[in-house]
Amino acid sequence: MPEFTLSFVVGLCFIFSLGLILVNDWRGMMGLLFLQYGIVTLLILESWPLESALIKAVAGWFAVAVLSVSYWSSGGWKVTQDSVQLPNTLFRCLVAVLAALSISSFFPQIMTWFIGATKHQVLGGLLLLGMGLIHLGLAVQSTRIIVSLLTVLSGFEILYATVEASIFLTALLAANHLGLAFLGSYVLNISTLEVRE
Amino acid sequence: MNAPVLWIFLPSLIAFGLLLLSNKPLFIRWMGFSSALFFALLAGILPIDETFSVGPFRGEVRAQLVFFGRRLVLENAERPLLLLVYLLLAFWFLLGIAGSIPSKLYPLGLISIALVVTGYAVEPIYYAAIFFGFLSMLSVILLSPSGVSLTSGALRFLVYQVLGTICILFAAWLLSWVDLETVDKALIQRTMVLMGLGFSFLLGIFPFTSWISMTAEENPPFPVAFIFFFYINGVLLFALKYLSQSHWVLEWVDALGVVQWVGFMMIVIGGVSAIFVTHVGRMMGVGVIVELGRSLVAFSLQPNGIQVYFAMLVIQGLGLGIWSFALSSFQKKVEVLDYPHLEGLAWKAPITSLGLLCGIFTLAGLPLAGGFPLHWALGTMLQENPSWSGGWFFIGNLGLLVGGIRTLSILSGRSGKRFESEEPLGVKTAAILLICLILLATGLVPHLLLGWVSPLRSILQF
Repeated sequence: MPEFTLSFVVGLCFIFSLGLILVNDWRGMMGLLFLQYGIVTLLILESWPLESALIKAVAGWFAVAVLSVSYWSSGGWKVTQDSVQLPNTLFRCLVAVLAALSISSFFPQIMTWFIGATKHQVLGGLLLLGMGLIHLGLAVQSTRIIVSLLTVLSGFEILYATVEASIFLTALLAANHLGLAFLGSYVLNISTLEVRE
Repeated sequence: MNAPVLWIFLPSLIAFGLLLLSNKPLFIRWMGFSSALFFALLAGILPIDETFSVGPFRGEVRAQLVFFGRRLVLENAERPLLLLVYLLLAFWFLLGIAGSIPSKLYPLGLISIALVVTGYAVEPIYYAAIFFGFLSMLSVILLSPSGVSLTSGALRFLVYQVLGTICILFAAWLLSWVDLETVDKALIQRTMVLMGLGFSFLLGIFPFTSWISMTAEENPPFPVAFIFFFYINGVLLFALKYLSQSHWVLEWVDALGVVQWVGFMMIVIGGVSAIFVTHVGRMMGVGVIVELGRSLVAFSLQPNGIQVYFAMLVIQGLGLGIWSFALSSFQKKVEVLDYPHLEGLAWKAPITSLGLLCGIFTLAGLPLAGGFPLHWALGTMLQENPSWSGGWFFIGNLGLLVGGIRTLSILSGRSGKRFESEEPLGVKTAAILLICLILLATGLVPHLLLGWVSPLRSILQF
């Protein structure tokens, strides 16, 4: 992929992960997560052939589908339309920008760790890892925590794809995403589950 | 037939079958228990990589299974470990039957053990981190009863496990860059820091300890103790196997010294906390922290410490089992397990109270209880270390002992109540009395237990 396109993709990485932190509407959050998995696949495509990289996209999109359906069935669409509070949004924005700035300042040193990876992959991976951790720190709702963990895992996988291309590990990591999504689904519906025993 | 198929895939298959039968809880319970016993029996009698004959049939169980280019290996020398793990699982399942614990414990418990065994058997060993990641997701389901929201402790547990998995995979990858001929010390140190961070997340080592006491306080006691016991010990075995396979690292970093220090730190943290906690569920979490510290100290005392660790594993299983069983029983009566709610309960439920105290005092290493001779043996092994290390080691025992005495005084109540037992004599009380007797017997004849686990001494040595 051309240099400019890759830089644009890294920029999108930041925008989507920031969006995940800021958005309160669940439809928006699932949409951003869906797009984020597309970006992850594009960055992994730098190291892997298309057919292997697509595994990440398929697993991720399936995870988004599982979470969305569960949220829909649990009636969550109706209740979490929180009003947007400006100070809260500004604070989240500021924290995310500070995290991104710290990552970019450490980037040249960290780049030496990842031999064989392109600078876009390292920057994209680190951005998702960092933003995922920020999201994790700010999240209170359990489903938000699941979404932030999925972001952290996505960032990790971009970096890890540059060093390991084993099918077994790819399958395991894909299963990890799906596992987290199913857990998120369980968490969303747990309070409505029938107690039999 | 392969050993991984027998002790990993078959239990998982049975567990998935049981998950489909959720409307038959009694069948699930007994089937889960019989399966665990069956796999323990198989581990006891079936040799691996040797020909065996049953009547006219001759067969061989191979040690290795190649799966997507990666190997799952269970050697013949590891059969005693399989036997121990499945026997302990059968014990917990039996206790669960006696305590009418929700039936989802059985299929999820079987899958959990299959994942622990996979984590131990997979090569390269660092892949185990991902299997423990799956196990943590299962554990969250196990920790969350239907109809109740997920607790913050369970969520924190999940977050730490995912972060730990990431750190370990990174560390394993960095380790692969280490060149044995031109050693880059900075790279080794970086790797060890990441590995340490990863295992700290997975095991709940300070400063990531909070999930242990949080889950112990907020979640149902029996599944919590089940996860504490199998998850933490599974990760411990994985960590030690990982370290033993990268033993050349020990030439550059005093890993065993670090393990011992971390062990002492956990013992002191747990011991001091045990003095102040006022919630018996939380105290169980603190007991687990102390036990984790002791296990780390035992591992650091190679080679004899390994045998003591496996003996402690049996005692820990029995002790935590009876502790959580008694707490489950109390929770049905009083709902909240803090001291004000438990006051004077020994007059109404004397045998359950006895079980609770037996669990606490066993892990505290009270003389004649099962833990005492093993803690004594570890303390003796520490003689070669500086004298303060022995003092640190016994802080854990002292703290739990004080906690146990406080619990005893709360259970017996301040006012002179009349003895009016509301506890019917039945399966629950019989189970408690039986385990108390077993724990007392192991305290009286510890050499039998040490002899039984001696075949395990050869595994995980550096």
